[in-house]
Amino acid sequence: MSPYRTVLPPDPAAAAEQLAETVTGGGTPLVISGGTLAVPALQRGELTPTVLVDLHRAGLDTVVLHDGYVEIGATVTYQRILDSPALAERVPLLHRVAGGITGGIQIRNQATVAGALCAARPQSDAPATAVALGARVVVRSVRGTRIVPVEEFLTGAGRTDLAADELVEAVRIPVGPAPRRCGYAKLKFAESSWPVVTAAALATAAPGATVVLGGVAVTPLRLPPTPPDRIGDVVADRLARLPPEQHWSDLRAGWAYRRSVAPTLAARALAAVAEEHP
Amino acid sequence: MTSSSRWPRTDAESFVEGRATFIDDLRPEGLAHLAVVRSTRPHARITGIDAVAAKAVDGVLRVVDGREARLHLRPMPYQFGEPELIGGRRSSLEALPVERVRYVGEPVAVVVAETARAARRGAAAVTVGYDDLPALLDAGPFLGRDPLAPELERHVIASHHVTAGDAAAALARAEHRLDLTFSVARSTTAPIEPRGYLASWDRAGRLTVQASHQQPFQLRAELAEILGLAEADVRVVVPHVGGAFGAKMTGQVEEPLVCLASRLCGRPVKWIESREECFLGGGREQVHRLQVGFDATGRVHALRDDMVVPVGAESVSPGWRQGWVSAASFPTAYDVAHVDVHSRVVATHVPPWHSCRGFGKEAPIFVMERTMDLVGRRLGLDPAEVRRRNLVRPAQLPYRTPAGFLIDSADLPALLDRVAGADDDGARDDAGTGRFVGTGIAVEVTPEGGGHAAARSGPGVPTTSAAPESAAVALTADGRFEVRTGTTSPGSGNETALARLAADELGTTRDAVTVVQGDTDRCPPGTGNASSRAIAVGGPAVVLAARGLATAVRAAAAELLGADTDELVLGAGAVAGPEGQQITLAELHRRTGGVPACTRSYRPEPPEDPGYRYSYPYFSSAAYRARVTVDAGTGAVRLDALTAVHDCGRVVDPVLVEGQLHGALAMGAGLALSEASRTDDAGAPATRSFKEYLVPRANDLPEFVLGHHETPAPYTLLGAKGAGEAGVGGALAAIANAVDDAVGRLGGSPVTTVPLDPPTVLALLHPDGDVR
Repeated sequence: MSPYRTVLPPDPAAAAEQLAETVTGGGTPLVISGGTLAVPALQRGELTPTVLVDLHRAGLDTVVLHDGYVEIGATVTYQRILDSPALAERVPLLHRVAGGITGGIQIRNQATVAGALCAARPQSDAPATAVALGARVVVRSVRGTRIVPVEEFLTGAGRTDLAADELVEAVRIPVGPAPRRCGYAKLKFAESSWPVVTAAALATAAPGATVVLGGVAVTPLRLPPTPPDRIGDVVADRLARLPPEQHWSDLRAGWAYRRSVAPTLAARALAAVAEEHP
Repeated sequence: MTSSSRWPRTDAESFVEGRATFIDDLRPEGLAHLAVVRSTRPHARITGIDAVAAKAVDGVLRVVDGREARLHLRPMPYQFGEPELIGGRRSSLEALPVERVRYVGEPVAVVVAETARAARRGAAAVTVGYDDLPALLDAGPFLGRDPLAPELERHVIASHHVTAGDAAAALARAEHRLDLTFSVARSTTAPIEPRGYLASWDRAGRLTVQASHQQPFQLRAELAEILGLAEADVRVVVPHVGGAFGAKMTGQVEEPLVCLASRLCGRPVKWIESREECFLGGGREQVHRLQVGFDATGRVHALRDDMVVPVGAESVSPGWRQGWVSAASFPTAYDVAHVDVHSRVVATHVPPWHSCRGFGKEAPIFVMERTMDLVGRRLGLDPAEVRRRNLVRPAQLPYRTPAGFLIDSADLPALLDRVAGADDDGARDDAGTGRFVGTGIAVEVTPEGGGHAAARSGPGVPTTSAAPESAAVALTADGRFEVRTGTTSPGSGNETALARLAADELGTTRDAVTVVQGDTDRCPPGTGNASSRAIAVGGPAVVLAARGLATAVRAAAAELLGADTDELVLGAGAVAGPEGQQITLAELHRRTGGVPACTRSYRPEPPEDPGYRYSYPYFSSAAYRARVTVDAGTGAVRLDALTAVHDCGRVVDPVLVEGQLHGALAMGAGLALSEASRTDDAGAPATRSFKEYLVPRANDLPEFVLGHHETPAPYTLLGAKGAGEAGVGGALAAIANAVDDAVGRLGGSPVTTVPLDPPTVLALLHPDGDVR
């Protein structure tokens, strides 16, 4: 466990300045939102920052509906998402995912979508869900603000497009005039287990729905719009073409298992889309 | 007041309200904290330990490595009985190694600092040089009976051979024979509260150790020996314990190290284990290669088994003894004439075994119950029917098992009948969603009460004897009673039952009785908590002491009242006579200057048989039925129902017995489906938190259905048999059988290993596919 200093910037600009100052001074910053992954890693000595930048007083705890998108601040917890009638109505997939976050009420009250995207765990709920929703990530530094599509933000297992002096300020999710029908299937091995494979499905104008798989490749895997009766073949075909360096495996399950169950998960997510509005 | 009323625990409120005191709540003046530097190599020579950077860390007071520790500490003696009695070698090890590390996670130095955080920082700053040696991580080469090469033979801690009849001949003539291989993964215990010790020395050189521990008197003896003290100069006090399950038995190296650190620093020193450290230890792993011979009726005549039990690095803790219990447990609940079990207990380069609830009895139940199902399947027999034809029957009792255990009471067929038809809620397969229902049953016999070194006796065979428990009961000045006992509670609440047993003898209620446990200065010696003894053995000691005190109190009252002892009645708070004469207990205490406390010891004494050594004194039993849903698309298993009918003899307190059973069933479910202690290819632990080591949560478990079936133990005073371990093996086996039932109907391979995590089950469903 390393000695570090904790700062609580009053706004995102101050947070960005703190990051710039730390990096310029040769230090290692760690940005904390919910901290449900970072704090245990700190305790285990896996992260060794010199400055801990805690966003909890930076005014990033709001959900704001804009024209064409909803902006979810970096410290908005899954419980806030669950409690938001606007999100329940306009982004039902996110609402559905937030209700099933592993860890129960303590984690739901602490963990954030922005934090999960920064952690970029291939098997977590948030990355594949954000990709399915076409989310964009609002990235801030003293050099300015940039808006990054989440598929570009997530660059690998545990890797993102963030520079050392950048922080995620918010996540933007496009919303259309009417909410899109959705389905979500998640496989985990016990209540306490992190997800192993997930499938997030959103209805499209074309027949069927688009499905994004989590926990199969190192980054979320988007499938083309597919009708339910073809999904098994489409998944199998897509995974057969996946380069080996993108295969994901961890303690819970190897690649062969993930590949084997992915068609089932995708089909279940699609079936849920159909069930939602028969 | 009935003896089985559903009273809550006496101290339940203090736990619910967070007032109960655990070891980490103790923060004496001047407290310093200890952290442990642990090996990062599975097997290596230590080339050097550099503590310069650690000593420079702010707040660090002292760094102690093996070279310094050996100047102050004698080697740690082997704990828990005589290993030679069960064919094992007597290990004696230094608390910190000087030459060689033997597993990832082995302590190599300790750091003491002003704060726990500074201690951890200091520990991280210690640099240890290693010269790697070959590591043995796979015990596969030890399977079988062929002589071992010398370099392998060195790893064998114990060899066991349990026989009855002539298994080879019986197998050769058997109408049917199955060759089976089974394995059980390494797993661990997961007490809510990990281990922790707090040591301090007074000016006179007397050591006080507060410890989250199961065995205060054994810890006192161990520390006295290692530290070169008289036992009278060591006091061990155990505050509330948040679960133990075997992990808190004596023999862990941090026990003396905390005491040494405190002496060297001249301050109280505390160590609280982290979850990652807690998950280093483990147990239960074994591999079986089995041949079973049976006839066309399903009657099993012969069983031959080669076992390997990899127990991790050699240690002084009782861990590896569970390997003996496993071998000796065969053929569990069944009457098999010809048995030949050969077992090798093997040291490997992973963390040492510690005692794990089930204590070696759980894996044989899995093996035998899977075997019974497979015998039945071969012959087209219903699982309940094949068991009925092989169970030890009441008419055969007392029944001597091949290892020499004497099953003295049980009605196994009745237990089986009570679960065989249970739980038919009409659950059916749903091919549309790919979900398939399976049911499984299991029967368990659980030897309890310690003294497990069973064997045939004879010239030159050392004898064994029953360990007693003791209790002292006293009348206090305010007219209440105090029970001091050598048994302790791991958090199970046995103090509630002990208070009630005393109250029943003293004509009062539980509320008038205070139970004192876990203080070597105040309590009579005992074994703490192990092998389900607190009520079955500790209970009678309390009853006898309370009975003795009641007589003494009535005699004292008789003198004061001028009455006849026999006509006086001890009631709530007073002694009363037939003519209205009465004296309160507080007044009696004042006028007599106190009645001497009554101390009694008790040991269960099964009838002596010159042909056999003393062994487990009582045997609980149970039958189980599990229902699961197998998701054929993913291999995921959901446990939908679990029924247990349990015979622990007389149920002294149903709330506590059922609490024990709930915990054991949950543990068995975890072992069946999700719990496995895993290491990476280099022997480093890979299951370091509850995110990797998957203990079932409430939502993973159904509402358990429990029933009791009481056949009193003939050789314990209360007829109680112990309720601490049954359920682990039974639930494990019943759930495995239930999964097998569903997988088998889908054309999959038989279940031969646990845990049945989804990749394992999917591989069973696709024997020819690459799905793992």
